[in-house]
Amino acid sequence: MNAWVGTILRVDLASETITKEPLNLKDAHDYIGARGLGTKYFCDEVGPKVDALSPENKLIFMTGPLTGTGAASGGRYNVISKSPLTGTIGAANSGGYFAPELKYAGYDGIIFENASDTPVYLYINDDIVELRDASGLWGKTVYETTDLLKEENGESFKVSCIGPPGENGCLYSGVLNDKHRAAGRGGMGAVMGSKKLKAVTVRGTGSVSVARPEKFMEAIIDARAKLKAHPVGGAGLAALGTQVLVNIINESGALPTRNWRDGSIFDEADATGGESLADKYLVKNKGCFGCSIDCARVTVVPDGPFKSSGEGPEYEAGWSYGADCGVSDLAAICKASFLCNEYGMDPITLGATIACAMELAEMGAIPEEDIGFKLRFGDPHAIVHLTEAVGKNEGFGKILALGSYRLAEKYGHPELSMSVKKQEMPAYDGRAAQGMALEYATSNRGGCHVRGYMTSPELLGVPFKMDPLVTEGKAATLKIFQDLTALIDSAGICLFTTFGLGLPEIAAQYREAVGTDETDEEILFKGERVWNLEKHFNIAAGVEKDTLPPRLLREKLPSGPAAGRVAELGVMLAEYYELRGWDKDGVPTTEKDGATGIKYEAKVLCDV
Amino acid sequence: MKLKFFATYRDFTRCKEADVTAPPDVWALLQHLKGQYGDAFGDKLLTSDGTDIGCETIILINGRNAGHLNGKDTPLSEADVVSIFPVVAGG
Amino acid sequence: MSKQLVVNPDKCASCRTCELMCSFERAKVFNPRLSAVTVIDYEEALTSVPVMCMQCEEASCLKVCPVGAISKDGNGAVVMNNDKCIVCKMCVSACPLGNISFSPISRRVFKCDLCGGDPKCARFCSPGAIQFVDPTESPGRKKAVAERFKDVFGEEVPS
Repeated sequence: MNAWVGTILRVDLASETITKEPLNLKDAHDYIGARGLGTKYFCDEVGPKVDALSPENKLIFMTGPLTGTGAASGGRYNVISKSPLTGTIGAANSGGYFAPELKYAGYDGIIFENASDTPVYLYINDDIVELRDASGLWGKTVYETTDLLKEENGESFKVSCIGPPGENGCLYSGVLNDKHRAAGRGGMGAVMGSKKLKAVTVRGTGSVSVARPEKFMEAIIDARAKLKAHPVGGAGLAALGTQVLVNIINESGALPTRNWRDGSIFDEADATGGESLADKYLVKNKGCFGCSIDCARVTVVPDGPFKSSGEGPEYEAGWSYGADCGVSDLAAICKASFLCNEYGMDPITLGATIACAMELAEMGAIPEEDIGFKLRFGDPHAIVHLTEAVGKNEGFGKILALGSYRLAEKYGHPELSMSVKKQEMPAYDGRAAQGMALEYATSNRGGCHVRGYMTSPELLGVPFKMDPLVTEGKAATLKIFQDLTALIDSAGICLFTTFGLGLPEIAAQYREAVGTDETDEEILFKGERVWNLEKHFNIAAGVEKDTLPPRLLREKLPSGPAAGRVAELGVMLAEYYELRGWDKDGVPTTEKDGATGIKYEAKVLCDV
Repeated sequence: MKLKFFATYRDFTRCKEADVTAPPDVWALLQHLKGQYGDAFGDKLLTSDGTDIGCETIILINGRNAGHLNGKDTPLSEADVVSIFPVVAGG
Repeated sequence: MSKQLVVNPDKCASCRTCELMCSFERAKVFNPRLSAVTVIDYEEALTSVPVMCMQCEEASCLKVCPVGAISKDGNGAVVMNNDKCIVCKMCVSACPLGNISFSPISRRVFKCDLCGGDPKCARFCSPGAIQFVDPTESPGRKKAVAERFKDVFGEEVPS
């Protein structure tokens, strides 16, 4: 076989019919898998104007060709749907152990259609696939749901599920698998909840085979050795996790502080960084399926008001609850981050939404009675309390559950939502890293760092150095990063493999797994095809144009190496559109599509 | 001049910060650090042939990567803050 | 003295790469159920333990096999001769550690054979939780324990 197992499950939740259909191998070839292939299925089947929380929206779980193989960090899948938060295509990526198990059960992906009247979960035990009653699970947290399903069906079952926020329509609720791994961004959990689908549980005993076993083994031995030898992909992330970034981003003057209001240097950053986490609360590190990077943190806060345990926090959550909320109490940051996993919420958006509420409250824009207490930056109890309030859909949590854009709009200051296309930007200030500004503005799923991680060359010097303060060359590099990231996400491997691997190693693994003789460039081009398809969907869906919050465009950074700077978006954007072959408004032109051989037959174009 | 150490480099320096008299440039600083904290640390700071800033080290002078200034020849003064990191990444 | 697999659960990151590589070595496919090594997770104890055949010196499987299909090879591995094996599964029952498995796919009994002297589980274990070492050359375990004693008592020894 060719790294696929050949079958897609189609589950109609309204009629409770489950059909097994052959994988569309042509689309799998053109759109790689996972993020790209799921998006292609979605665009073919669902119109771009669909209401994200209506039964007409579909929810797709899709693995990649490298998922479940021995490829370096090859254990990932994407959850794809229209995002209720942004209105863009939503594709949220997760690791853990769930996705390989789905393939071992014999399914490359699952397409959920329509909605059930009553709570259900999907049970998959190799060939046996059933919708089962989930009334007893409704209202349960991610942890409880996972435990109950394992108790009922067996320890070897893997679980992907939503928590109460997904049931309650929290616009940034995630789909969490293996308790701690999240398809976190863009509200895929709310789509799942709107369909009354609580969980998917799977056990698989089959195999995944690749097209050219010997050559594939050579490719993965090479990739794994290079990853292991790299200071980041090898020992670095295992030792200190992603939280290690807090200090270097802060020292570079790019750590957004107090809702990006107070510049990008947080005086108490070190107390919240990976070094402090390792000193105080880290028990051990952990890896997702087939991964040698092992960046996950198993963490225990042993005592005090924020006594808790879980996995994390990762850098972005550490920032959103830390510097962005002005909080330096690492125990509180840990607990808030754990709660996001337990309830199934995106900690970037939630932490940043709390930060936005803090700024609005400090300026008197939110009446104190709406919140219930005097909300101020720096309050460790507030981040935990409000995270719980969103998780339980209580009080002010009901408003926070809609994200910072809708919060700030409600209270008359939409400009204070630090979001792009209504999704919150993460932990790098685009004024101090110009390429990141362009990345946020052009990301196909709104404010996001994992669609073309310009931080890496700009602030970390990996795999090469680019001056963060200049705009020259950023558009060209970003385009390559975006296309490469689309390839990686679609192949079913982890983006972190780029901390050690480049296109040659990634393409080699893909090539030998699926049995193609395409060149590196031809394989990278598939990433561009995925990117353009996403863009087509967004335009057809009427998503707002590529821009940034006014704060980044007009308010100069007060201090640090980028003092006095704003995000110089205009010049980079024009260059970027030209490089992409799009018109000056950022619309892919048919000429370009024709010239590069991209041919969209997706429904998305018919509806334009 | 203020020196700040981060991540696994604290295992070598056994401290987070140090005050030193400003050496003339980054190159002199690296030689000083090698002498102060040992050859194992020096090996991390320098390229294997010992002629430049090592590719596994990031040196920020007032938040700017030495690579975007004058590299190892970047001049230093008493008012500078120099932050020294191993290559780290994540996100 | 031949090398043996030594497991250090403290280092195990629960990534299952050992299972993947073992199954590929054995069957040229990726399938943890065809692996002779299995990682057992203990969520509450925050640990995970790779479990595989320990190549017993007094191997019950070898003794119980009615057709002499199990023997010791030059690497110290207890190996199975599939040509002789009648798949009676006596060895599966006899192994006190549960480290012989029956594959419902191939309908064969299988166990760890140390990959002929280059066990892939150890070779690909990134954190070093599974190591293939000569126990007389590398007193790693003893030394690790000794170092813990040193950490606890070391400071009290007057210098």
